[in-house]
Amino acid sequence: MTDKQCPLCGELNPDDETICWKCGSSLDHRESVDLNPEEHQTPAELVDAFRKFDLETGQNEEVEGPSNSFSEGETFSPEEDEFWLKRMRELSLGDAEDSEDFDEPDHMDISDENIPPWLKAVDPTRKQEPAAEADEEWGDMRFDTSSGEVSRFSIESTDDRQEEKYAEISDELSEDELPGWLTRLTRSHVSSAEEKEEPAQEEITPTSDNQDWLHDLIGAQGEAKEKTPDEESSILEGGQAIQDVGEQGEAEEDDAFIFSLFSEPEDSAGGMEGVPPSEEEIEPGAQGFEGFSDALTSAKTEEVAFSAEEKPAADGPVQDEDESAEQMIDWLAEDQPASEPSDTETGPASEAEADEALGETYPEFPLAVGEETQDWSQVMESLDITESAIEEELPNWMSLQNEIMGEEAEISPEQLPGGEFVVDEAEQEPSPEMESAFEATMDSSFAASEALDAAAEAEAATEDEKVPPEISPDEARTDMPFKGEDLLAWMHDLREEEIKKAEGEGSAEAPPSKKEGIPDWFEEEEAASQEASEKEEVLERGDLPTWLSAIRPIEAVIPEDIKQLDEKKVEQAGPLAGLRAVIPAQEDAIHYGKPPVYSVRLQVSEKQRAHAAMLEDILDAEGQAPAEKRKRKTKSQYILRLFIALVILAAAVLPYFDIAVGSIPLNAGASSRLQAFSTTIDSIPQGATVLLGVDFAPGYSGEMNVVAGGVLARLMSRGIHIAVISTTPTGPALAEGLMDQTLSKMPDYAAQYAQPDWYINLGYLPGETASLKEFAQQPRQAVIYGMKAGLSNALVWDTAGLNGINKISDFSAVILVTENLENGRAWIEQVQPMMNDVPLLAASSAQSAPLLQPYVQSGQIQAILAGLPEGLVYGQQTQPAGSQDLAWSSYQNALLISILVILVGALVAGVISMFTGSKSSQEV
Amino acid sequence: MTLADIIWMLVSLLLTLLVLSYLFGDNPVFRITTYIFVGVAAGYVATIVLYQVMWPRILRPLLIGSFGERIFALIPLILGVLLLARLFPDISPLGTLPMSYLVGLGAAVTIGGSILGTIFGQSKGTFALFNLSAGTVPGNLLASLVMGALVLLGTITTLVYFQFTASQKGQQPVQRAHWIEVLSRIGQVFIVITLGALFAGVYLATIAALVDRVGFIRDVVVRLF
Repeated sequence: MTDKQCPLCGELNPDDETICWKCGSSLDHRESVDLNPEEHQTPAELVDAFRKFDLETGQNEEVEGPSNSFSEGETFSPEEDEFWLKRMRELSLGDAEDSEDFDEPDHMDISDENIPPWLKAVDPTRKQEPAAEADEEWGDMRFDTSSGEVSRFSIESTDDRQEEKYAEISDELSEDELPGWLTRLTRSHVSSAEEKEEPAQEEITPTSDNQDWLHDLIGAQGEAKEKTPDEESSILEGGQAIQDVGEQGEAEEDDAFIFSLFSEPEDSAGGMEGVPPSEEEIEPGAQGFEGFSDALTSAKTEEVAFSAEEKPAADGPVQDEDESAEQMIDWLAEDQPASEPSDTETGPASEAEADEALGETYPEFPLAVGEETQDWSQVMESLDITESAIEEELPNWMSLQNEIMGEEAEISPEQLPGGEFVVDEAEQEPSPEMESAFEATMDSSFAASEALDAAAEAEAATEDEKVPPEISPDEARTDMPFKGEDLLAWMHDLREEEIKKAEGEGSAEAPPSKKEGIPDWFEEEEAASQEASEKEEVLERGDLPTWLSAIRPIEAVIPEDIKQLDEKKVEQAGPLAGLRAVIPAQEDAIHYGKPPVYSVRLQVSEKQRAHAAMLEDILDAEGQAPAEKRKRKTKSQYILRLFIALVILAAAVLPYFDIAVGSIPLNAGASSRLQAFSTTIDSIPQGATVLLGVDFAPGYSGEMNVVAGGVLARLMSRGIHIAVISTTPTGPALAEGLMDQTLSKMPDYAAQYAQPDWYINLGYLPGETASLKEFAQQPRQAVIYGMKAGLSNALVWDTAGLNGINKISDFSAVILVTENLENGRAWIEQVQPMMNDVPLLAASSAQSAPLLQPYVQSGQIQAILAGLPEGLVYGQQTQPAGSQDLAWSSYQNALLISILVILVGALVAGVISMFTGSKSSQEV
Repeated sequence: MTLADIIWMLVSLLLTLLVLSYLFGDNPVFRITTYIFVGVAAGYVATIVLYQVMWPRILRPLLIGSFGERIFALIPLILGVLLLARLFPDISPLGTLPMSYLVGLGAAVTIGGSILGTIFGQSKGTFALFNLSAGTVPGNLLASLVMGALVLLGTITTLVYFQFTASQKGQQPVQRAHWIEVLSRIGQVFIVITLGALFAGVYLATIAALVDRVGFIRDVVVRLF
């Protein structure tokens, strides 16, 4: 089942649906309305087609009422015109379901915002609104459909009321507000309205009271010979446009419809010039004013082309009708910004000139049928309206229409909303009368539009895109109701000629035609917009702080590419189908782009970058060790060190050369510490077993051999079994050496203590602190084999000297021989608690004595023998006298020399520092 | 005096002189001597471990011991082998068990001994100084008290010296309390005296070593010549 495409919005709907799910429009196939002017004999036919076309339903409906068909020679009755205009209006408003029930008010209050003032003034039935309401853009312009009048700007009316209106309008609206040509036309109409009461001879007959002028214009086609065809056509078109505008009810459509008048150059003798196509000619499916606007726009285009073709000789080479159509319609633009900078003369003066020019050329507007009309082309020439100026000042809605008529018009008939406005421009061949009429009309409109454009351009320097000045006929839209290259060619040619004239003059000033005829209200509007833009420029931009600007994302600063309206692009769907330069709603609504990802890039300057690099280097250097500054060794320091060493060495050696030999003082052993140690050793009973813990380093063997040797000698002399154990690997070996040295000095005890019963070397006790604790608790399990057991299985505890030793407290005494605090502490902490009343003695070196003294004072160590002197003194008890004197002398001499060196060195250093300090202070 | 004794005596003399060559600064001769000492010590230790530990505690029970001795010997053997795994990064996690056992056991023994042997003992000894009834110095109660006070003062001030808790008041620099600063100054004196005493003891030990070596050289020279 194929889907149906909504003619209005273009959405796909199921085939069985009749109403579009999106926009609610009818999906029924609309019979195409051929709006090709060439297909219709007269404009009346086209109008009839429009009348039949139901914009709401998109179908051709038979409209009850007067005859809906226009045939050649058939004239419109006022009722018929009124009816189809009403019909159009009602459809645009969308109020009534049934057009027949539409109760047309006498005065349709069209929104003032959309109706230009000059158009409003054309409405003869329009109520005169107070002056206060003139603040709106289009002021108080109203179009009265019943009377066909536009308030404040009535075009023509034979009614006195209308005349009054005209007078009022003229009074209300200043010359600056209304284009001059329109004003003059109004006046002329008023003046001639009474005289001319000829009914419309052509197809379109004006209504009784308000559309006479329109029909007069239309009827002027039949009397084109009497008048200038251009003028007649322009009048008709203008009038018809105004009439249609009133029915439509919206200013934009009104204006657009006016253009459609110019797009019907084919109107023959009976045809309406500038009459919008009838409903018959309009393809079914066209809905609303969107399609109608397209028709109007295309009509404009064709009209421009037509007018251009009509005056090839006067206006120069024939230009493309499409381009001419766009350009010619530009003058009716609402908000057409000025784009050409060439126009300099602006303001009321230029506008007045334009009005004056138009007024002189067209003193009467609208002109009744048969009335002599001005040569619009001449007016255009006099006004010197350039084509480009008109294009640049083209308001949005007009530019959109230009797009529809413009270059890339490729909307197929099916794409158009509501139907197909297929107008084959090539087939359409305007009649000479039509051409002349169109040309005249277009001349006037062209001149006015250019004047308007020039004024607006001079006041507001906008940056809108410029409508390309020239539009080739090939670029003409194919969806216009009145398409036809021939139709628009004359209009385009006309525009081209005007442009060339304007360029040929080379005047920097805007052509007077641009200024003239531009209503003041338009200028005011441009001025207001210009002021707004200036105000924006006046505003000072805030200064961002440096730190904030540094972290501002660059992508946020870079202006996004403003999506420029592609004026060549023609909207293909939706209510704006056929228009140009339309903001694409459908595409943007569907396609969602990925949001931009802003990358925050810190903007740093070179200075900041250098500082950051410096900081990085500093931080990297933190992990690197500084390079050592190698001090240069000075010879003085080397000599001094050598001297001191030699002195001390000499002092130690001299006694051995019988120099400075001293003797141990007799009272050396009277120290309390030595006495306590001696007392404790002497309290050990003979035959007892004493445990000797040898835990000193080999480097201290010289001192410890002296200290421990005396103790061993004493123990040997008392006949005490000596058990040696060590927690250091070198201990057992050192113990053996100590024993051998002692025995060498006591040869009498050598043989006794050579036996294993008297001297038991328990060996190495691994585990340090933990093994000591184990040994203290279970000695036999801690030590199994002795030092001298070797690979034998002899148990060390089987010796006689260790009989009865099952625990640490079974020893008579424990003597600790150590040079460091850790070993001594380990024995004190692990073994001493298990010893109960067994004394713990210590034979230590001089360096550990101060550290072990607290333990002595605390009672954990009963006695201590520390240092070489005490050992030498204690050894005299067992050694023969004088055997220790050399050692004693050497020690004392070395010690004395050392003290002297220290004192002398300190003194010298102090003196030197005193002098250096004084020097530094003096230098400061 | 045998030839061996003479040889070893000469070797000892040579090594002693080589060590004394350090008097002229670091030199290769001195380094050779130190290297020899390290090597000899390592070899001697290895021998001691083999004869004093490996054989009697592991090898012998496994080889000729009873079943119970073998079981008891396997446990340390396995743990010892696992401990060797610490040398290889791939299997080092295997040595975590014996290592943890050793660390835990050592920590327990050390901590227990420190508390019972040092803290309690030293505290008891300090208190004993103020035992007017006992007195460390017999017959001199005042001296005992003074000594006790001195010891106590030194102990407290030394401990205060190592207290680094400080505060900042306003814009003033961070500093300790005034009374803490005073006590720390006194403790600093005691610490300085203690360090001096330690240095003196070390120097005395070195002098003693020098005297011993000088005497040895003299004896060797006398014996040779």
